[in-house]
Amino acid sequence: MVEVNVSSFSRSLSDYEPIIGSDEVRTIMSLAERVRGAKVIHVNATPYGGGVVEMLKSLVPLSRSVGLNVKWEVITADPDFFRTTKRIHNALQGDMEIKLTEEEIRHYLEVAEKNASELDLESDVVIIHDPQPLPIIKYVTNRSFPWVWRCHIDLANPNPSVWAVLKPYVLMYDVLVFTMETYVPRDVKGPKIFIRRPSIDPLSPKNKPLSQSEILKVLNRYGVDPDRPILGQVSRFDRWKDPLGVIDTFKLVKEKTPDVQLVMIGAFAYDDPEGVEWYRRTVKYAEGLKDVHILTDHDGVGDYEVNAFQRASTVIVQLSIREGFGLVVTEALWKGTPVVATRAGGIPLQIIDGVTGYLVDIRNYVTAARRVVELMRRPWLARILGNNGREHVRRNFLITRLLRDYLRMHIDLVSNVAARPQLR
Amino acid sequence: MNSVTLKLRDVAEVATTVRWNEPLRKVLEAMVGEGDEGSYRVVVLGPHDVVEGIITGRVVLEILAGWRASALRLKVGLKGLLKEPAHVFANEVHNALPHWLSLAQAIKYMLENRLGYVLVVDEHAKLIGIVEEKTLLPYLVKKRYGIAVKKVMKRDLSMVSPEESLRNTLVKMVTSMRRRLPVVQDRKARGIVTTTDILSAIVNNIDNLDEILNLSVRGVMERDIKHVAPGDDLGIAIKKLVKENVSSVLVLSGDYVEGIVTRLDAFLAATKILGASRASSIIEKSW
Repeated sequence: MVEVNVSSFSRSLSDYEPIIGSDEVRTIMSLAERVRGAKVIHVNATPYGGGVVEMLKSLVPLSRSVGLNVKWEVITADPDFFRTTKRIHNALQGDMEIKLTEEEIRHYLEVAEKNASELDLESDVVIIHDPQPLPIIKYVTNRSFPWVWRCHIDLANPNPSVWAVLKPYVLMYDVLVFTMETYVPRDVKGPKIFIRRPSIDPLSPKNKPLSQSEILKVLNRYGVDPDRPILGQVSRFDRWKDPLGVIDTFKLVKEKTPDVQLVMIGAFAYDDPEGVEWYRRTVKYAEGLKDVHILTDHDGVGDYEVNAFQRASTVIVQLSIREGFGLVVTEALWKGTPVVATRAGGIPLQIIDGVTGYLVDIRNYVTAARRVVELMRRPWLARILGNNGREHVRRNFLITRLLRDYLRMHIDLVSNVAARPQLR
Repeated sequence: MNSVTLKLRDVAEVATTVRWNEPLRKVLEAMVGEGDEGSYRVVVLGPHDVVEGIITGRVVLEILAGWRASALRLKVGLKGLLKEPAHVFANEVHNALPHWLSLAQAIKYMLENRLGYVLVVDEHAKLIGIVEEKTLLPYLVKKRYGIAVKKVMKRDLSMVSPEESLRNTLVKMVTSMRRRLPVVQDRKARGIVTTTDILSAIVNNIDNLDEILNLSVRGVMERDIKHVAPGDDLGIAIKKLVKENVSSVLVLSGDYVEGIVTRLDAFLAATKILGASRASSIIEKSW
């Protein structure tokens, strides 16, 4: 078991006042007062990489700053376990070919049992994120407080045989939280269901304002020419993000805008064993192409560098085949960078077509390329869409909204909060 | 008549609102309203009219069913719960759109995301109004859409019998995430019961909630069923929804319930067929 130390991300609610205003700060405090001291534990599979980690990195310190007693723990597991959970992930996203073996299921449950005994799960509320730690609930002795499963992926059309393995554990939870109503499996009856949208932290290293010189330094470090157009993509190397489709789109853009550069950035989360394979496939697919930069955390690209590249990009693309919400789209919009993205998952909530960016159909690279070229040729249009995108995120998808959502959920679930010392 | 390019601020209607610190009871009263004035959606305003959240009829049903605010209910009881400030129960709004957005763009957004409403706000996130499917649908009445109702209707229905208690009906609505349930006996349609029907029964008798919830559906259901046939054109369903001012029509084969078409189903199907631009220009011409 690993407890994630979030002290380096520490900030207080008042830091957000210039962005959200003093009224919103006051209403958050009035909600927080009702659950002051409540102990909340988040459990997930990885301390870095992906949207869940992005949110927890901000949500945990922010929740602490308003008086909650919050811990973030990460399960420990071996590569075999993560190979299985990646297959589970793919199956839940709609890969109907996958069948879990008896051995895979046995090991999946074995790891859950081991973590159930090692994690600190005595709390007022436990929130388990995604399928990797899902079955832990089966092996805990104390379920006298509410257990929440926060599912960040789309379960609308899961592989039936894999869903049949997971469903009994899902039904053991008191509360299920999904990103969209359409993600709730029709055959789930029993637990309370909440719908909650993810959000981004405008003050995190990934989203905070950067000066032009800071951005230029990052571009120079990676040999990207700041005077030529940049097509950017930030995503895990994953088949559902369609990295090869991004390269196909880039080739089409290059025909019309010869000086364009492609910057593809991804991180290798250790709960994603397919990441390396998809990285290699992507690099191989781009072989022989000029002006392609494929960068990862192994090249020293972290939150700060992602921030710089998202700001420096002329256009960001996100051509996902399946998507939970698509927080990378939110991040790009917040930076005023126009986005061309597919109609997948939560992306259409963020992109008002023709207003905050452009939506294209999945695998329609020709239209995607046409939209990218349009934005590269018309900087004034890119600027307008970028500004609109930033305001859309400010109105709808900032972390303080998520904090309010969680506070309300805690008010809903936590019955006996006495003032307790703050957990550190 | 010349058409104009309508902006959201032009078509936004006054939203039903409560202040963030007003009690939940006020939300319930606003939902039931008087005559046709009730609203399924009540916007919660923070200080200076900034949108803080929204409470729908479903949220209130969940509270009454003990699904929501269960911990708080243990502490303060149901009566105490009704005195709690509205913002404790609100859901965050993630579809607040700027007032200058064109109607066509907003319809497209509603269609892409299967939304029944968007809130319209100014540059400071202050509420201007609400645009709902029920505002726009009357402009989309036309004889034929060239698609049968059976292609549009919901088939996976939850249903209740006339003898079902309101308590069970309420739980069924919450667990099935449905606002309206057909009432059937021997599979034959006998009526329809909606969230608003149940809330209306409760609002004036909140002190006797247990008694009210033990009543049967028969006492609150709408018996005058508005219905269409599976083979009818979508245009007929829309006409009926608008003319009868109901939020859904049952799809019947004889007396048997085959499905239901809600106002949102009809709005999304119609705008998908027409396209957002054409739908908005039809609305603009008759505005």
